[in-house]
Amino acid sequence: MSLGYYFLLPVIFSFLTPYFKKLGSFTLRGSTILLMLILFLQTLAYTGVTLPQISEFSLKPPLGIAFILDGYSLLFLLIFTFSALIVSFYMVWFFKANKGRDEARFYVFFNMLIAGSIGMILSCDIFNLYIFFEITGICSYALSAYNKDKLGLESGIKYLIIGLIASIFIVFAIMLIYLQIGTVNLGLIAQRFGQIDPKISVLIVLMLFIGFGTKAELFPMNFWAPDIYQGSMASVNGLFSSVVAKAYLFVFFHLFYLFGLNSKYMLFVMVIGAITFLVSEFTALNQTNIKRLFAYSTLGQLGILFMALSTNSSATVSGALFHLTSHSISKLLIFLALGILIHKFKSAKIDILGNFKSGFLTIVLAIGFLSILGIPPFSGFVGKILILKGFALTQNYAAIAFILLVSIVEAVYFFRLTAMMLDKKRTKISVPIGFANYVVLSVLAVLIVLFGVYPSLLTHYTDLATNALLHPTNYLNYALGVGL
Amino acid sequence: MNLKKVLPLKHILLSILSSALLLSVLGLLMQVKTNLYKNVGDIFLNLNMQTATANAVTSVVTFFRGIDTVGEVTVLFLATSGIALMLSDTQRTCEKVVKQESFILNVGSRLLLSVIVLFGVYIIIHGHLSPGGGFQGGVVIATAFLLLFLANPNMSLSHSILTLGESLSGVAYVLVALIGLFKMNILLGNFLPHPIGEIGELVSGGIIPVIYILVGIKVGSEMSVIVEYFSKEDYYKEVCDA
Amino acid sequence: MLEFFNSTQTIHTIIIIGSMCLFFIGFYGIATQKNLVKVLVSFDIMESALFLFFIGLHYQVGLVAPIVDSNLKTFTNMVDPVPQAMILTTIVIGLAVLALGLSFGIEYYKLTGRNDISKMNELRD
Repeated sequence: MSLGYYFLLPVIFSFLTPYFKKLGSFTLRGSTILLMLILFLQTLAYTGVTLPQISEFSLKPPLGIAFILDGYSLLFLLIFTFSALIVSFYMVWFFKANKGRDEARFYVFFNMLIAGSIGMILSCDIFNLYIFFEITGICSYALSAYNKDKLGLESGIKYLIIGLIASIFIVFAIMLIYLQIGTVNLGLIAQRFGQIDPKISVLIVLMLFIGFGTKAELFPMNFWAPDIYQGSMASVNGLFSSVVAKAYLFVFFHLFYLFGLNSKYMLFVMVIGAITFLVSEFTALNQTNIKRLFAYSTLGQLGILFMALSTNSSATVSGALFHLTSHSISKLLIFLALGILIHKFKSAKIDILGNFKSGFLTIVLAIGFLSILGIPPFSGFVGKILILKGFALTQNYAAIAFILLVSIVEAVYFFRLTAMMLDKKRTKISVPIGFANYVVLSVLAVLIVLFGVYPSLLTHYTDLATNALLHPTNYLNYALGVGL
Repeated sequence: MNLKKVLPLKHILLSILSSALLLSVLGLLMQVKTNLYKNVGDIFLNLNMQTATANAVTSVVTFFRGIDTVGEVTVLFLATSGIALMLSDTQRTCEKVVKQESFILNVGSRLLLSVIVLFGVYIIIHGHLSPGGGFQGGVVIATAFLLLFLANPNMSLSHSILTLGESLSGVAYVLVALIGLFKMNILLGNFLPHPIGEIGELVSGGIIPVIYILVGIKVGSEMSVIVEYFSKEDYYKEVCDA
Repeated sequence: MLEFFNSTQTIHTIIIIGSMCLFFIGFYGIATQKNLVKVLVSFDIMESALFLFFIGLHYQVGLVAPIVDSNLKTFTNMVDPVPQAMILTTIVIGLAVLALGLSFGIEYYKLTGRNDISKMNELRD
């Protein structure tokens, strides 16, 4: 199958959604699950072939636009298509529990959110990447305002304004790149980026940094993220945390290593990541809204990832990619489980964690919490250990001490939440969980434990991804059309 | 008059900041030396004869960078869905009141409608020969409907027809891209015959005019939907306030 | 008298100064205005400035639009078509986002009767 299907199939589905809606909600839900299943199976099929894979549009690169799949994008593709499949099953329960919603339009935005994120990680043309950036953006604005209540609309408006700022900076950077280099192909830009005037190149880097850093929730520009998480639905939060933020992070580091910025700006990104981690974890300590708390926790984890991914050492980067995968799964689990609680209690206060009675949910949530915190035998532990080992190999003991110290702060609120769940003295109300949710949440929990016990299942892909990220020669050859 | 009220201190500081940023960016941009390398557009101009399209911008939009246009059409579609999600309220509190309409305006706008739509269609089908194309023509068609709404606030468009046009043209566009994959082994390949001798004629350029006509239908129906939602919004609000 | 304008260098200088002034007018608008509609319009001004900047810098004296007709038979001495195609795409995207933002604003105004972005602070702990 051609890589173009990753974008074109969801587009056809979205265009036909008004007619699926006429056939009834069963067709609508079923077709979305089928679509996500096709995309996931296609991705699984790609794990067995030689990488990179390429599919061109109209012309061969470097003139035309192409989708290129290398080891780095394969890992993200697996995460995205898997999360999308999980969320599409979860939404069946959600729409059964919340009657009278505009289901068809939700599925339009959901499909295109996934397609846009996938397009961002596959495209080898920076202007094409900007278009996928906007597709993802529009879907996220609409999804965060989906509830059409005060909070939802407010978060939609805020997200839209932030998105406009980011997109203006990215357009400006693309224009300067075209003025200097005369092309928008990533391979040619990577080849020629060193030759342009250093002053202009600093301006371009600054603008790309602001543009993608804002969307990837990096420190000075991430004040908006908790508001967005608070205003939107829990399932959408799961998508934002495990798919959308990761797609922007992918692009950030893809360009970072492709343009050869790692030697110059490594320390800068590391410090920014460290500040993100520190500030977010301390702010998370005194949150009373559960969605906000996990938004800050997501920001903190992204901070660690920014620290570790910018180091240019393969051990640390591999560990970071492991941690990223584990974080995606755990956050998806937590947000989906919280969605069930928030639906029951009609509130997002932190107390709801103490007031529910369901052994299954308690276990599942505890697995999610402990995995993010990095307690063995869950996958988050392996990720954090691998990152720390990588830092130890490069003798960066300051980073190790920093991560361990701030993790204590993290431990404080995660243990507080776990203790609150296990507190027997509180009044407990039993919470109904749909059958689909038992399956969805157990699959995620089992995966967390599985990757924690057998990390080698995942390290194969993270090593592949690390190699492709740090040594993008193959990618460049394909993007330049050499040897096709 | 109090100067502080007209221009608060914060605004003065921000304007100074903007000017400082402006000067620094200007200082940088003035030193830009363009044409370090040959632009990809010049290569496209040399290749453009092969597509048999008289308008090089059209061949870049629909063929050389064709997937951009698929994405662009999708963005417009998503925005329309978002606007419909926001503004199509089923449980409105106020009743729809029939407004008095002006006879002359009504008849005049209906007369103009055909002329404007014809002009839009002309722009769409000559997109590969002259300036213009699907997006521009589609927006011109939407302005015709805007005129109708302004003249006659009680009017409403048939949503089933608009949805049909929107969905079918969009799906057909993607199918054109996929047929290219099956016939030419490359997505969006130009699989229709496009002899170079026909350049400048109405039927020339293979799939390029086909794509622009599909884009024209899609943009025209989507922009009409957007215009209708926004004009109805104004109408409902006035009625509610009264 | 106006031969002065007949050089590419002069035109480019004018375009850079003009478009960047417009860009920072938009920037000032975003920084100071509180009405949502005005903020969105400021964003539109910034985008328009970028379009002018990009298209303008690809014009050179003596080049014509990249369209052949009965007088012009070959694609030589024409301006670069790629910036125009890119700007066409960006204009449509800008329009789509702006329209979506306005519809959010309308809905928010219907719920709360406010359109002041500095007072949108209900999302807090």
